[in-house]
Amino acid sequence: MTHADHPGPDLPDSADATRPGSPDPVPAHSAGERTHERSADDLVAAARREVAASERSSAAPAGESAGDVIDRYTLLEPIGEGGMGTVWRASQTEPVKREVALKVIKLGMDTREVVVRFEAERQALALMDHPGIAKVIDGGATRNGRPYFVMELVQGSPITDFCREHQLGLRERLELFGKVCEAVQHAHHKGVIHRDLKPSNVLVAMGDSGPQPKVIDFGIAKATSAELTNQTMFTQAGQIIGTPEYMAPEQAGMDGSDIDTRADVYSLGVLMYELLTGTKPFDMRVALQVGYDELMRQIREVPPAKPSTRVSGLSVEEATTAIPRRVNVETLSRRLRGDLDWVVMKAIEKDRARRYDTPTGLADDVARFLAREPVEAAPPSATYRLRKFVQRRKKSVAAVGVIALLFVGGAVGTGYGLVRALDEKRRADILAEEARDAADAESIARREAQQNEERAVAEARRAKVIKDFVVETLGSGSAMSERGSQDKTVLEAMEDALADIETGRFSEDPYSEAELLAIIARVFSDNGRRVEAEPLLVRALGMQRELFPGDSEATATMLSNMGNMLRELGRPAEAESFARESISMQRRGDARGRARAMSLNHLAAARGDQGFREEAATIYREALDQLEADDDLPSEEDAHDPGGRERRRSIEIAVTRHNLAIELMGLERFEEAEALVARALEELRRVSDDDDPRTALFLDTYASTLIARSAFDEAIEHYTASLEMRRRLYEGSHPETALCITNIANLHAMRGRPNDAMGLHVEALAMYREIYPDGHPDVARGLQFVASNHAARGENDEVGPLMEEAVAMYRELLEGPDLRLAHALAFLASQREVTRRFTEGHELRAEALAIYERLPDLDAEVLRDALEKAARSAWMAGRSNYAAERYLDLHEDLAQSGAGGSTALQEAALNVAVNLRDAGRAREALAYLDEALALRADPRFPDAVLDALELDVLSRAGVQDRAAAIVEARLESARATHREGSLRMVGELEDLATALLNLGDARAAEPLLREVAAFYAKRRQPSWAAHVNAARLGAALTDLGQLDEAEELLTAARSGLADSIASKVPPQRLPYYECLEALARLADARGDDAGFEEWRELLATTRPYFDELRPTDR
Amino acid sequence: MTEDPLDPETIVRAADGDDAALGSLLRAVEPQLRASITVQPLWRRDLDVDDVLQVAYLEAFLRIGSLRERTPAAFRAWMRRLVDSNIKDAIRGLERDKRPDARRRVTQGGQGSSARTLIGQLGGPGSSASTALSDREQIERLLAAVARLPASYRQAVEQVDLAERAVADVAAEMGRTPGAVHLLVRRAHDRLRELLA
Repeated sequence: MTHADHPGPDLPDSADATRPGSPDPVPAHSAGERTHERSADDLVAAARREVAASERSSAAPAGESAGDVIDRYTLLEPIGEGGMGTVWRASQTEPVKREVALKVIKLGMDTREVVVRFEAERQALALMDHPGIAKVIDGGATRNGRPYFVMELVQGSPITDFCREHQLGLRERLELFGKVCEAVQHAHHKGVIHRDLKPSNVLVAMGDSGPQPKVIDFGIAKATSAELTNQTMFTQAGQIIGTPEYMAPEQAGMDGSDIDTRADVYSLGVLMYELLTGTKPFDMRVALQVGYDELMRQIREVPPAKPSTRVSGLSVEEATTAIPRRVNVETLSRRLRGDLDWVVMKAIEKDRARRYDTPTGLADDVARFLAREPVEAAPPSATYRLRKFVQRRKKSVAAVGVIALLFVGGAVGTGYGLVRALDEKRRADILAEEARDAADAESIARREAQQNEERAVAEARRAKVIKDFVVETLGSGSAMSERGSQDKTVLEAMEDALADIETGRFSEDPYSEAELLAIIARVFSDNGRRVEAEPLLVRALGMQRELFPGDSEATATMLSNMGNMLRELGRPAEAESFARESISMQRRGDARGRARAMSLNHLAAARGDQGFREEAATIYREALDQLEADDDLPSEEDAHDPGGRERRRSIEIAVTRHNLAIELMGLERFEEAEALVARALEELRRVSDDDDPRTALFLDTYASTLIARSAFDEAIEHYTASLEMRRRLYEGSHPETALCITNIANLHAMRGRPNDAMGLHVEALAMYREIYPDGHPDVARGLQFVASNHAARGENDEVGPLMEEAVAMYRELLEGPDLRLAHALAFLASQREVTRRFTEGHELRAEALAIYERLPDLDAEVLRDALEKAARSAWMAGRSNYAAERYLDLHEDLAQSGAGGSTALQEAALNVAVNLRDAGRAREALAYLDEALALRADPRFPDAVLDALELDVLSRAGVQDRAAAIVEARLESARATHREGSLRMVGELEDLATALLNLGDARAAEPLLREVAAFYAKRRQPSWAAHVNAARLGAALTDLGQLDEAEELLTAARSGLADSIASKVPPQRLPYYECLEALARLADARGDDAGFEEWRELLATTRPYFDELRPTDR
Repeated sequence: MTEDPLDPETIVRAADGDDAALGSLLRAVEPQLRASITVQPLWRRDLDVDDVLQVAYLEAFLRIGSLRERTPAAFRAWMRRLVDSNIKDAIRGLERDKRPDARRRVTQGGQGSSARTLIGQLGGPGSSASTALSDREQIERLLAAVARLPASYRQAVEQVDLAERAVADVAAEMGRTPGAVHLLVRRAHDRLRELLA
């Protein structure tokens, strides 16, 4: 292959326009040419000619053809086409005879900006002299005034092809790559950035001293030296230059003014990635399915798999073509793992400050690897990756509308109320603990006895009663034998105890009954049976208040436990009031230390659950201070068992620290959180045994930090260990087990494995449903995850019912504005939009937005995203006024956040203009028009589209002079440019006729509309566009008083439009409503008042936002 | 039928873009391909074996670069697949013509202009940031892509999809069988999907 400027990313490989020329193109067949059974030669030759012709037609500009002479050069054949120009193989006759590559700016692209860039390229290339860079020989202008330049004709293949064809091994590939880095470094020394490095711009030929690469096409180079930057290398604001897969994130950010040499380092990193793995970090095929914006987002935000990981994931078939021959997948993956992984990952860092500063820096590290020396690149720090992770997650979470911070478990309760183990081994511990609790009660009673001896005696007696009862229930052979099992658990014992209480065993001793109920409630609650626990604790608390009016430490503890339980039941506001009451009571009693710390812990968790994370963190710190101050009075038991006291305190400190860490993760203060979790886990392990269920919870939190560091496999290991522990500790369904399963499933889902995730999510949901038969936020969340998997598998119809149930559950259970409901609404809305239920989608989005706006501490990006989606959804539903207002909000928000002049701001302006126009507020739209039209610089918005908008807004707003001038100029230009009866011509005529109608010039519009009508009349079948045109012609004729023909046209058009209106999204239905308006005007013109009212009535009942229109718009 | 041996080197050269090499391979496999094609009597008037082969060859020239395994067996299998899918697509099109599907007719008649219909059939290119304007933009992109098709593909799309003419009329004008036009349209759609991706 010769010097070939590969086409842009929109061309697949097979459309490569670089195949050598062949005889003159002829049509494959002309009419009447058919013969029966032609020879193979005929068929092959015809196919070959046709392919050659189609390639030539796209490669060769209309302006030049083979044989043309440009100055001293004779064009021989087109050999490639790039974004900017066409490259020809050409012969030079003087002063030397040789073949060269000649690049001419292609027709249709010779805007001033391109010419300026081209000029810059010639100067920049002339400065460079390196065997690895194609030399510039000459430059000038063609007779048509288009610039061209002449460069060394490079014989060679794209570097990736070369490596594959020559079966280069890893070392040879790396050595070759080093040479490419040297060449790019040379360019950087001369102040030239390539900005579009990719395999097709690095051609390799076999020379005397082995493979020699040459970098071609500095077509979008940008000078960094002061002399050059003044006039050249200017990239029009916002225009993306480069090939997406090789493009540095800062280029994808579209801030073209701030690209430096490190953008090339990034592209070199991608090139190295491809040379090592045979794949690119980003798969365009996948990315293209999700759209251009999403691809840009991925380039900016999503870290690619490490080369070793990518290679190990290749199928056998892929590996055969992808990787160096003579190496199998396992070997290659092993060789890449470690140093080469880090070298590549450092080169393709999203943050350019973390990349190699120069291509030489990259080449040096490659050389170090080859010399078996340690490389400079090192794994990114954990903190850095954690931050990136959450930044990424936040967006994707907002995008799909699922729950934020999926992997963070709930806060843990503290003190006595913590989860207890239930197996045989733990039974004795539980019993001992219960006994100690009772002993605590005894000691409390003793202290109080100084003031109230009688009460103290009662307390002591009660403590003994409780102790005896617990011992009897748990420990007696009879209790166990009643069930005929030696495996009775504490839960079963509590059920038996409850049955005993309900049969009136303590009817004479309400004090003991209250305390026992509280114990049973706590055990139920800790074992996932919170729904059953709640009424027991309510009953216990009621009895407690009645029996001990006023403050008491026992009441305070019960209040605190009540708060914790309510929080776990998803009712944080209620929980908060109990926690506050408990704390007030403790303050009045001057309680310090552990008891108060426990209440503070529950209060903090309740506040955190309501979104007040900063405040929650402050409260946790206060609790930690209380615990660490260690100034509570030692109990009698403490005196007997000083080690046990220390152990309990250590556990409470660890738990509080863990909870604080979770809150800090929610606040994105990851460094602090990471340190806290690590310390908490260490503290817990030091004082607890292997089966402490809190270890499992802490392991989960730790796993979430591993996920943040992208250490997915390790995270799965930790989750699995935690899950095994839970399955061992808890029987059947348990919230903690379900949460752990959910976390593992989420990890699969996050890694794009919805099928692996689905089974686990379904299992977790079934558990939650069993635990909370009457509904619970966790059930809703489980529904949402199952729905997410369906969505990921494209099963959109399955998503609807699941999310309807989730939303209904959240609505019933959540108090106040809540992020979970907002996300669920947004998710359901997206399902409605995908299934074309636009009005419902809009209403759900609007509700979600209203919630987001009321949430404290909500990230501005999340809010902006919700705003944008609500606006777009409203547009789809035809609620133009609502959409316009939301786009105005977005525009203001972006402007205030300093995004002035950015493409995002211009897009917002465009959407404001479109929606104001559609809402009949074209005059207001005028104010945003110029800003929107600045998008002409953006390649995503073709001029024709923006021209149409400009004229439409101007004409609807009645800006007569400007609109009329545009119509005149465009009509003249269209007649000169487009073929009569071509689709483009018809498009132009439709735009112009509509504008003339808007301007009230029906006379001028009429002939254009008739021309369009003639075009459609030739079609066999009537179409929406044909009906729209007929309606407009009818409207024009109404204005011109030709009422009979107008009526015929409008009536037929209305019927035609009505037939297919169901297939249109509401904004596309505008012409139908305009047809109804025209019918109303026709009736008016005929003096048919009844008809007029009838059409108006129909308009009012069918047009979705008719009510929103102000009288002046109608 | 005995197979002419294929030279593995020639296959590598062909896959690397040597048109002459590919031409010689196609000539070598043609007898066997031709023998493998069976068109049911019902469709013989509407589908010519040559048409199937020629479009298969066109595809071969366009896509040879994507041939992964460059061995004689793989090349033969690949050509066989191209031929088979052409026959299948042609006959599907012909069957649709004979038994028009009411839904499809409604779609064509009601979905707006022909270009919009075609965009719909192609699955639609990625939407722009401003969906409000995507309709017009998509048409522009489509027309640019159509201009880049091989001549017979382009002609088929322009006449059948954009001008909404009957396949039989277009076939007569192009000097092809209706089956050939169906498969040209089908292959052209594949190509357009790639160009618009």
